[in-house]
Amino acid sequence: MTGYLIRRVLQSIVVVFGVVLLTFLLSHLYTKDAAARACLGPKANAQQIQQFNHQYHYDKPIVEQFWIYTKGILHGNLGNSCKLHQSVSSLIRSKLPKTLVLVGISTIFALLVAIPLGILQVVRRNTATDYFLTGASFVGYAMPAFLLGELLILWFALDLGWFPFEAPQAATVWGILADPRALVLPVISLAVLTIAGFSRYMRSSMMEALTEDYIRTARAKGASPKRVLYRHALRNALIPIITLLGLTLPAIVGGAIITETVFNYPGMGLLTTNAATQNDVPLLVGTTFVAAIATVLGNLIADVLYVIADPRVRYS
Amino acid sequence: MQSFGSGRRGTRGLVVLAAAAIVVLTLAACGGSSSGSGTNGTTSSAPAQQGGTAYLAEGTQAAPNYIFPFTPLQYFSTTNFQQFMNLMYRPLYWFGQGATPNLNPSLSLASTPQYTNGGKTATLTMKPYKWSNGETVTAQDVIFWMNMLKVEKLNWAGYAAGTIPDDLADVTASGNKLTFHLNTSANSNWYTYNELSQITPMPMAWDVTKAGQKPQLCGTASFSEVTVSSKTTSKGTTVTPVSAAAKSCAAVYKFLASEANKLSSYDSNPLWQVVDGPFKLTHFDTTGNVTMVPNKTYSGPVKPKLAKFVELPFTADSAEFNALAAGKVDVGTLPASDITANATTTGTCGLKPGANNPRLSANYNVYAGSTWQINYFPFNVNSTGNGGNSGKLLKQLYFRQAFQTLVDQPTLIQKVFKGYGVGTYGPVPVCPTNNFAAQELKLGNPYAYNPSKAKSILTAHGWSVKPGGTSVCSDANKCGVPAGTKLNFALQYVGGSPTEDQLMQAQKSSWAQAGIHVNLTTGTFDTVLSAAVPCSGGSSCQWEYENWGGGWIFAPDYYPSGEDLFQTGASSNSGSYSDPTMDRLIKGTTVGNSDLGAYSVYGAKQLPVVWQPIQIGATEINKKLQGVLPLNALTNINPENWYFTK
Amino acid sequence: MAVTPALEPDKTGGPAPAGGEAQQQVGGGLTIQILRVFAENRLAVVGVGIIVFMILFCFLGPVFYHTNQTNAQLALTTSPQNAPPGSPLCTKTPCPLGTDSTGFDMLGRIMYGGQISLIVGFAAAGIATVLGVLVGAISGFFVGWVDSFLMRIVDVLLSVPILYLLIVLAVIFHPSVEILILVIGFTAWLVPARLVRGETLSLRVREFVQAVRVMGGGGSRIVVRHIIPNTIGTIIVNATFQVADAILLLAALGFIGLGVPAPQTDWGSMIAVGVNGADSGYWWEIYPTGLAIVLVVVAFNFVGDALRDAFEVRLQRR
Repeated sequence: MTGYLIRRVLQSIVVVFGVVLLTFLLSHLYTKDAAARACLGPKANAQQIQQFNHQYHYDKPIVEQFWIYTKGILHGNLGNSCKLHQSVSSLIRSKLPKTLVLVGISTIFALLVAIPLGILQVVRRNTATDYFLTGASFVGYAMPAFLLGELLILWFALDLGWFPFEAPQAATVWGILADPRALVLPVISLAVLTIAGFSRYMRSSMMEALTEDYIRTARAKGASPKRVLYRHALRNALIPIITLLGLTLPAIVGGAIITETVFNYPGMGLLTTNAATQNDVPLLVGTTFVAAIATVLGNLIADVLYVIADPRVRYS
Repeated sequence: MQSFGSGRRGTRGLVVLAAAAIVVLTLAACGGSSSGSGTNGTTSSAPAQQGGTAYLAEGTQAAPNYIFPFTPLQYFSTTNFQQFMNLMYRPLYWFGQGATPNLNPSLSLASTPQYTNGGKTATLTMKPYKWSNGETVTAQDVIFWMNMLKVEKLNWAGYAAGTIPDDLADVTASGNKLTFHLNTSANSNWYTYNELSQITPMPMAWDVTKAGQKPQLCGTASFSEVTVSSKTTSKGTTVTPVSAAAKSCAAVYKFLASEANKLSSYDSNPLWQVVDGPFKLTHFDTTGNVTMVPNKTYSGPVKPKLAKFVELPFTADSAEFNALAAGKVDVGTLPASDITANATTTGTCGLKPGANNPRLSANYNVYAGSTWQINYFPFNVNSTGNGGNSGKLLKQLYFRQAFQTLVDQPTLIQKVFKGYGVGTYGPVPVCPTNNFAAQELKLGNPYAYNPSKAKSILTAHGWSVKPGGTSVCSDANKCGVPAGTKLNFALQYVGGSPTEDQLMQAQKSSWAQAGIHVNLTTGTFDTVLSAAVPCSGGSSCQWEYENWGGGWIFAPDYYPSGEDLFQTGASSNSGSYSDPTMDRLIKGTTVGNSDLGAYSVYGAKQLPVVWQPIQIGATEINKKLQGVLPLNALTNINPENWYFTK
Repeated sequence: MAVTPALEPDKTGGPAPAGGEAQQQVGGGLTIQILRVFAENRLAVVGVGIIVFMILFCFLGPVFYHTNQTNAQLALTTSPQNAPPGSPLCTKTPCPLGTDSTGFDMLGRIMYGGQISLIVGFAAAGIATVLGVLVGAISGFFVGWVDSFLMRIVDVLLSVPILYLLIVLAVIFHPSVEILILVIGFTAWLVPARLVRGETLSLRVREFVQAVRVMGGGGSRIVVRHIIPNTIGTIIVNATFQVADAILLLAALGFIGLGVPAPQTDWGSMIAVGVNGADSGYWWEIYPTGLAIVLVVVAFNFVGDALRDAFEVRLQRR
């Protein structure tokens, strides 16, 4: 197992380097002077453009720029946002925790809803409830996240007035958590997609688990259906959830962009959308980099936990 | 634009235009500062209350992010200057009087400059203003700025080669009298409005390279003691300090600029607490929340009545609209998508908003004012597109006339801007009503929308006009291009704004009426700017029309003399437009004694660019807040004039 | 966005059938299999029905119901803006679904936007599938450093959430329909690559592959003529989901403001514009378009699910 872990960590490091290279290329897919013109605007004259290029090293050879960029990343410097006049890392540092809170709460909520739903579908398989839930999960899958969010706002915030129309605007994580009413709609919106996928997975995985040999053994030994379901099938079906979470992490982090945009939630997703509309490429590339690193870390942790949790893998 | 939830689309549209006009966010950041032509007067019979807190909505996604008045171009914006720094650090000369863009002597820190010696010498006298730390605002404070400008001009927003400080032989001070010795004569209006306008006096407390120091050489030396060596290579210009005073300026600038990079320290750093304006900063955060309180030592004519002035940041139009609806903001912008009744225009500049949005009408009145800008997009007279014929065509006045005659600005303003707009018909802004545009105003619009006239212009010049199709040249002698040339053009504009899309699409179908086929593409802001550069020919010079959507905002070059735009080889003459008469007329306004009359009329007739309508923002003002009007064309705000009534 | 392929890790190329059975999947057997799927699975039939209807609606509809969807000037000056369905103000066409903020007829606009959404969906899925299959098959077959290198690239790209990558690419290469197809395709090829690689890894040790090698067949011949046809099942299933995903991704981009440029539009951009009017009660600018997206994506998911169930039953013994 240690060998596997070491290999996984090394692999992650290679991937991280790849991400650094990718983000550098993306942020330098520029025509000459493009960064300066984007920042300085239409009034820029030749001297100001040259000064800008000099200040931000755009006049150096590309390899040297990559070296400066990599050194910067190692020091936690992801560049500067021209439009906001702040360093990308300080912007991300202030917004990332809020996104993690949103993603975290959504995922936990999704699991708390999806697992029982999946079990319910197995228990009442091929009945009307099962078909209805399957249909609902299809629709949940197919609904674009932004449409769902806007509809939730329309129905529950504007028409019924049960919740505020936008997410908490507090500057700190504690401030955000102090306004739970405003968190309801964003959390639900982000969780729906995960719920749809997880409950379907739970359903098929549990059904599969129920055909395994150890289930027959348990039944033969006189275990009640409930015990069979919960103590045996469920436990075995849950283990891959960890890997599942790792695999869906990119989708949830990416989905947060849309949810944060719709609800004006002051996290990294909204930062990304604003950067996109403002054509703020350094900031955009910075958030992409952080999102990628978060995903790599998430996958690594998921893989490690999976190895720890599943005895079959541990001894193979 | 979105009026509930979060409006990404809305902000993108406004933001693109705002990004295009870094200096002034015409739409989103009007925040109570657009000039009020056609708005009602400012006085109210209700008694003025002392105190109270007024809340201003900042422009969407435009929070202040620079505090040091010696600002690089990328941070030179309405939000930073007119809505933030100017409240604390007064510029030497204040521009914007009532609704006009004129010099405002009562708010300036010096007397109006007197020009002698054939326009080569300017003298002014400093008024007795005080800094909040007890220092007096002296002539030396101005020289401090000028010294720094000499060394760090490449880091100054308003610098253009050959202009201030390059055009000065010396600046001398004697007591509170300041004398500018120019190298060559200059037109006095031009020099005051475009060159001296760039100066903000700085306190000796800033003349340091670390906290608590005594004033260094930079601020105490004379202008002639600061010597630099300038080198221009193909890679660019470098300015190297030579004398000790110059090196001191480089060090002081470096220190102050690095302090200005620490946004979260703005409200605690004692440097920035040294103010000569009516307000000082008590709270600032990186999201854009700003709180200011009156500066008790302010020496200006009108002292603030408010107890507090607060600016609130918004990242979405819908959030700002909802803040207005909830009464959390006293002065804000009505997002274009929430405008429920069209504005009407009486005369040229009489912009009268329609009924207010019903959710706001109980507590707010809506106003609209013009901004000091022109909107246009350039074309490339050296274009090698269309087989090398585009450039030739664009050089022909008749073609430009036909093209402009198909732009229906009044209809576009009514339909796309919901009436909130003014047209651009010449190089000098006609609105708000001002002296500079008197001649242009008399001329009227020489190219009013007239499709049949456009067609006849083309026909008269040898074109076989195919409405809805592509016209073809049938007589090479009259066309100016070979027979068989088709009227095919490419126009790239900045995408992402539904308003801009509507504007361009509508014009495209309009041009098609005369068989002028314009192929529209969209690009990012920087793609368009990078493409709209002067070129002299060859395969890389194919661009024909480029539109970044923002035109030109006249700040800090408040005198719209066109030397940056339409002069041969000018720094922002994207399309390489060149006309000796134009050069002569412009020179008359910058160096000679002419006013803008002849230049403006010539520019209106010659069409050096394609004029476009300007979108005007709608400003909401709390009915209980007075003193905000008239909205100023230069987007200055004067919260020291604001007060609440019961 | 559907994450179905990734959500089913056990389906990433499960145990391949024994050598003999693999051959049966190619050619006529495949078509019959697919048809049997639709015969047995009602949802799949419904799905195909919806897809076919949508294609006809979007591409043939404008032939019968002709409206102005490109001339903004004309719309602004001759049509009422934000008119409700069946409004008497609609004089040029009856506007059964009302008009939008420029004056374009909504029903016609759904057809028009649908054309782009469907074209981009199919084209991007096509590119993603072709690219993914090639990379996956090459990587899985030739193993060694080729595999390591290609899979590291896939890892790197997969670790960036798709929407982030899409946004960055769309901002840098300003959107046009062609660019969007390429950009979405470029971000979507990773999953089919992984899937096909997995299947290839197990297929390459099958007896029939060894047999071809013994007979002197070269690597590329094996890949093209033997490996890929045997992974067709997985490919088709994945491709179906890819179309649904591409439509959703394009819609998301359109919502942010990075969608197709004017005068063209897609369903996502239409909703983005439509929500501006929600506060004023212009429901017809949101719901019909939203319904269209959901229907089409659900339909593709029905079909993909049915196909997957069919292939997986044959792949796995219960």
